[in-house]
Formats: sequence, C-alpha cells, structure tokens
Amino acid sequence: MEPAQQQNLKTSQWRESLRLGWRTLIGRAYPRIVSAAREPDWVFYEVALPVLQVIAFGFVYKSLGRPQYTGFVVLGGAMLAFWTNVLWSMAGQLHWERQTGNLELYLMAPSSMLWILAGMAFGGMVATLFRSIVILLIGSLIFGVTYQIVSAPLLILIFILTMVALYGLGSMLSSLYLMYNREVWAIQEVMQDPISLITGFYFPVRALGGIIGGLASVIPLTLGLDGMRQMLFPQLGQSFLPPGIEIAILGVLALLFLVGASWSLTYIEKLAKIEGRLSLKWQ
Amino acid sequence: MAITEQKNRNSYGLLNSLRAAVWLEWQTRGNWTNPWLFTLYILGKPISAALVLVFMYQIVSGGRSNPTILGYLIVGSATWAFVDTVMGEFPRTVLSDREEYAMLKYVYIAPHRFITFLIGRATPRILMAAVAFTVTLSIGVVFLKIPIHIVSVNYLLLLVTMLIGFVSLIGFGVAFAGLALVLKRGAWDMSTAISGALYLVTGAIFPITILPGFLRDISLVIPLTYWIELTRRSVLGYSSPGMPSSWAVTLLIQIITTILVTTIAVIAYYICEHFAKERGQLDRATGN
Repeated sequence: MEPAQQQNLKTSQWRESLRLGWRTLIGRAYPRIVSAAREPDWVFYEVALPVLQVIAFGFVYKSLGRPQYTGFVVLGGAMLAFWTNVLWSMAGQLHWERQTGNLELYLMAPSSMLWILAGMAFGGMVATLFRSIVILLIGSLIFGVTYQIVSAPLLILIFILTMVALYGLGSMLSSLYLMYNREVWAIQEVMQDPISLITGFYFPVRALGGIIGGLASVIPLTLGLDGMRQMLFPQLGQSFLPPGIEIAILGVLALLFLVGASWSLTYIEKLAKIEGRLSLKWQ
Repeated sequence: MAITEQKNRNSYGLLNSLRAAVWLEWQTRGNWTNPWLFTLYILGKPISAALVLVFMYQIVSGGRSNPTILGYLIVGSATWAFVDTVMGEFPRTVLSDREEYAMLKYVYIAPHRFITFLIGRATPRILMAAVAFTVTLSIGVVFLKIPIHIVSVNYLLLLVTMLIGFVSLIGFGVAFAGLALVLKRGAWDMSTAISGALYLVTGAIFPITILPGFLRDISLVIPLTYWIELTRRSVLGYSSPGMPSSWAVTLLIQIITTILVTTIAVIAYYICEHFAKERGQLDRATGN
C-alpha cells in the first residue's frame, strides 16, 4: 500500500473512532438529560427539598446573628448538587450498571468505556447545572444574598476546572468500585458527609486549619468552592489560598484525575475480568 | 383455649418475623467489612454533621465559643442521627429488595406482615444510631466542653421521649416505604429529601422561633420537634425558645402528635400498598 493511502486509511480510522466516540458520548448523556424532562418529579426531590436543607443551614447563620454568611451556604448547597451527582451517578454508576446487567453490554459495545464515562459525566453535569442554578436562585432570593463579582472570567475558569477535576475523580472511582460489591453503598455513605465537612460546603475551609484544609484540597470541590467564594464574596474574607494558586492546583488535579480515570479503568477492567467480578451480582 | 393458642402462635410468629428481619438486615448491610470499618461507617455521618455546625459556629464567633450554644447544636445534631439513620431504611429496604436483589415479591408472599418485616429491618439501625448519639455527645463533652453533667441528666425523661420518638420514626418510615412501593425515579432520593425538609422545620439545629410563621406552624404538628426538644431538655436541662416551658406538656404534645402521625402514616402505607398491588408494582424493577 502507498504511504499516502496508508495515511488516508489512518485518518479515516481515526475519524471513524472519533465519530463513534462522539455518538457514544451523546447516546449516554441523552437519557440523563431527557429523563429529567420526561419524569419531572425530580424537581420535587432533587431541587425543592434540597433547597429546604440549604435554607436550614442558612437559618443557623441567621440564628447566630451573622446573616451575611448565608451566601456561603447557598453557594455550598448549589455545589453540593454536583458532589451528590458525582458520588451517586458517576462513582457508583458502573456498580449499579453491573447490578442491572448493563455493564456486560457496555463492555461488548464497540466504543471505549471512556466515552461512556464521558457521556455519563456530560449528561450528569448538564442536568445538575440546571438544578444547581435553581438552588442558587431560590437560596439567594430567600436570604437576599448579594454577590460582588471580582472577576467573571476567573470565576468561570475556576468553575470549569472544578467540574473537570470533580467528574474526573468520579470516573476514577467508578472503575475502582468494580472491585467491590455491597460495600459500594456503605463507602458512598461514609464518604458523603465527612467530605461535606472537610471541603467546607457550609463554612470556609480555612476554619479547618492548614493541614486538614491542605489534605482536603485533593477533593476538587475544596479549592473550587474557596476560589468561587473569593470571586463572589470578597467582602467576607476567610480565603484559604490565593485564587491563582487554587487555579493552578485545580488544573493539576483535573489532569491527574483524567489520566487516573483512563489508567484505572483499563487496569481494573482487566483485573475484574481475571477475578470474574464484572458480572458478579448480589454479593 | 383455642383463642389463647392462636394468640400465642401469632405472637411467636411476630417475634420470629422480627428476628428474621433483624438477622437479614445484619447479613445484607452489616457483615460486609471488619468491625473497625463498620464503626467508622456508623459514626462518620453523625459526627461530621455535628462538626459542620461546630465549624459554622467557630467562624461566626471568631473562636470564642459559648458552651450553651454548642450544647444546643450538638444535642440537636446527635438526636438527628436517629432520624437520618432509621427513617431512610424503610424505603431503602423496599427498593433494594425490589431493584437490587429482586427479592421483594418473595418477602411479600411470605407468611408474615410486611410492616413487621420492615420494622425488623430498621431495628439494627436504631442501635447503630444510639451508638452514634452517645459517641457524638461524648465528643461534645470531652472536646467542646458542652454543659452535660452525667448526674443531672433526666434519664427517665430521656428514655420515655426516645421510645415515643422511635414510634414516630417508624411511622414516618412506614409511610415512606409505602411511597417507595408506588414511586419510580424519585424513590431513592425521597427519604433523604424529606429528611432534609424535616431538618429545617423540627428545630434540630436552630430555635423554631426564627422560622417564618407558616413553617413554625408546620413544625408544631411534627412529633420530631418535641422529641428533639425533650432530648435537649433531659440532657442539657433547659428549654428552647418557642417550646412549652413545662416538660409534661411537651411530652403530652409529643404523644398526641406521634399517635396522629403514626395513624396517618399506616393508613398512607396501606393506600400505597393497595395501588402497588393493583398496578403490579411489587415485583416491577424500575431500573433506577
């Protein structure tokens, strides 16, 4: 075969692979977005009632005579929606898919599992963004929160980096969970609240001190929340690190988790095949 | 004679159902790990929830702590561990048995009352929550110096209000289990979401006087409000703003609201169960 023909073939294969990947991404994201429109009861369970919990924490600051801090709670509550989504609908997803028998179908499909994870992340992010915005709006209206945006581009950059790193972490965990069975649920439960504590959803992470705050920075939400609070509530102070450093760390975390997700998926999938855990249910 | 024998057989059957359900709960949710990790699992959530409030208070107070306020927050949060741990277990039992293990129909046709089975499944969670409650309070006393004096705690009131509190929790749980039978997509999130809403209106972490009027009215008909208040009163020795000053009156209201809520909850459960049977939802996995 001529070199030019070989080149054309490679380009064509690469295009085909990209096209398949893109279609997989859209295909996996589709049910996450569309199901929200078809079954609107999530508005009650995933928006209206979580807002009440955010309001409860807002009232704590109010009862303690510091209503100005309610903005922290409202922003934390909005970001909590993403953490919940990552934990239950990303990290735990492959485990649920195994329980319902879909995992084998995913593995037999001609596209890479990474595209399936990307689709889950994209669909989850879009659906959660809407919930998050609603929580932010309602919370802000109820408590009369005022925002002083320091820099909109930096705010958007911090948010995007936080999301990429966070969903990268979720993808990594999803493959690691394939090694576990019933424990998955308990691990998720154990992780949820302590992480709400150490990432500072309802108070600035600075209160935890340098060591705990530093360790908690491995979870992208810690620095993401701190950075966004600095961009939105400069008058309240209480920052943990300067925004520039937080952006750099978030960038590194995003890269690490994405590479980690790819590596762990390949490794764990292989290991799970050897140990026969891919189709193991109800253990 | 025959009636007595039948009664004995019924109570034996009831105890057997309860015992089997408790054992099953432990087998499915308790024996997946070693005791240390399991302890972490039991304590992680309630301690974190209490510490979130402590740090919120530290931020506000600038590090100058008032033990009375900390006591209020810690006791409320520790009591909430019961609600968080127990209430959600009822719908989760239904959902995991139906969706995950595909066993609900077999459990349902077994010769026992399904409500008894549900209560049995939730019983170990009450014990787990009791451990979390005790440890959270101990941490508060040792590290945060909250004003709990072991000799001055009103243990009798604490025991009575706890027992009545468990009845109301079971009532809520049974109603949620009924809803889980008929709901699809939102069923997994329902108990967490409703628990979050109750967190707002029961005065768990702030006095109900701060709530807007209509929410305060709602809080006054929920038995959990009086349970948390009486727990606080028996442990700390003082009442919260907006609550009756007499513990006897508060206890009486707790009993009345518990009877009302539990009755409504059981009726709601049977209505949901009826619909679930009619629609064939008892063995229909929703895939969510």
